[in-house]
Order: sequence, then structure tokens, then C-alpha cells
Amino acid sequence: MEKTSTSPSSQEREKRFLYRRGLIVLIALVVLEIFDYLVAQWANGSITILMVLALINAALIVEYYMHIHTLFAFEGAHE
Amino acid sequence: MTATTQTHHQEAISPARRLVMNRVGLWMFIISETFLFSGILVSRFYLWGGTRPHLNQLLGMSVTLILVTSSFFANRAEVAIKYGDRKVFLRSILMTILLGLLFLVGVVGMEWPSAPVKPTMDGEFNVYGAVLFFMTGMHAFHVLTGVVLLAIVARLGARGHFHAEHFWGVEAAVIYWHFVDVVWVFFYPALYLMGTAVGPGH
Repeated sequence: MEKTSTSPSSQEREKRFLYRRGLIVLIALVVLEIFDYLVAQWANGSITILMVLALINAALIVEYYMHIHTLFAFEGAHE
Repeated sequence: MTATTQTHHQEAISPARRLVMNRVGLWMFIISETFLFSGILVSRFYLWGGTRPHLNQLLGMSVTLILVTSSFFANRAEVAIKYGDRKVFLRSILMTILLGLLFLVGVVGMEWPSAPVKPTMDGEFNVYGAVLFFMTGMHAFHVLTGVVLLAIVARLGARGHFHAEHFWGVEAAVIYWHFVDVVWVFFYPALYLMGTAVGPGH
């Protein structure tokens, strides 16, 4: 998770941005889950379509909640 | 390796490098868990094929939204502790635990007793029950361990163990929680939505 600035005001801005981003991801996930259900009714439980939707859901969580992009980064570390 | 050289080796690893090593270790564990859950998911397609039992759709959607929302609060807790906001951290981590428990009540307490997959009187193997209980049971066990882990983190956090410069414990517990959510993102459609519903229903 990004945490780059040091001044209190910029840190506050970053924190608010990350809170807001978390909320946007939640809304996207909820919409996708409901869409999952509707697609299942419409496409008669198509395994392919539902698997693609599940992959999109998982990608959102892995990228924005599990922040996989910071795996090999030194972000968050304090020397 | 002698004790002295071991100490020197540990000192040579910077905190930043140690954090990267911790993260890689956690992700290797998550990858091994992914193999486990992928195998379970494949068994669903092998045994059920293009069919599924009549499960409670409202309950399935509800527990899914509960788990997704718990991930939001887990992320909020992690952001809060990284920026030193202890109050939001504690509130969010407790909310995550509460939603995790609600998920368990929904799956184990409500779905299991009502699922139309009971064994037949003549003892015939019920493939729908076997897959359903194995998938949800294995996942529920991981949710339970996640709740325990988050409770430990909350207790340590309340005692001031974590702060903006020291939050690896929170990060690890939260990433594990998100992983449990990712698993359900695949299990929910596989159990409730994919294929044609067969057998007795709601």
C-alpha cells in the first residue's frame, strides 16, 4: 500500500484517498456480485460467463485490497 | 552456523528487506492455499458437471455481500493503522470480525441445516451433499481461523502493539482475510449460480 509523503497534510490526503478507493472497490464488488446473480438467471448459469466475472472480482481484490503490486517494493518499510 | 554468525546474519538484513521477505513468505503460503482451493473447485465441476442443488439464493447472496463488506473494513483497518489512526483501526477490525462471524452463522448455522442435500435412507452416496459440505466447510474453517487471527490482532492493537512504523501483523492478517474473500468469490457462483438446478428445492 502506498505511503510516500511525509508532511501531515499530504499524509491526510493520501489516507482519505485510500479510504475512498476502498469504498469504490467495495461498490464495484457489490455491483459485480449482483450482476453475477442476474447473469446466472439470464444466461442459464453459464459457467464461462460466471467464471470471467469471478476473475474480475478476484482481480479487484488482489490488486486494490491485497495490493500485490507492492510485493517486492520497499513501501511501508522503515529503515 | 554458530550463534555469533547467525546474529551477524540477522543484523545484516535491513527492516525493509525483512518486510519484503515476510510478504513473499505470506504470498507463497497463499499460493499453496490457492492450489488446495483450486483442487476443491475442480472436484465440484467433475462431480456436479453442469448441475447444482437448489440452494437458498437469498442466503447465498447475503453471505457473499457480508464477506465482501468485511473485506472493505479489513482494508480500512489496514490503512488506518498505517497512518496512525488507532480509533478507526480498532473500529474497523472489530467490524470485520463481526461480519466474519455473521458469515459463519449464515453458512454453517443456516445454509447447512436447510440445504436439500441430505443422504438418502438407503445410504446412497450423495454427491451434492459431499461437494457442498466440503467446499463450504473448508472455506468456513478458513474464515474461522481468519476471525481468530483478526481477534489476536485487535487485542494486540488495543494494547498499542501496532503503529504507523510497525504494522506487519495487521497487514498479514488482513491479506489472509482478503484471500478468504477471493476464494468465496469463486465458490459462490460455483455453488449457487453455475449450471442447472436439480433435485428438491426451496
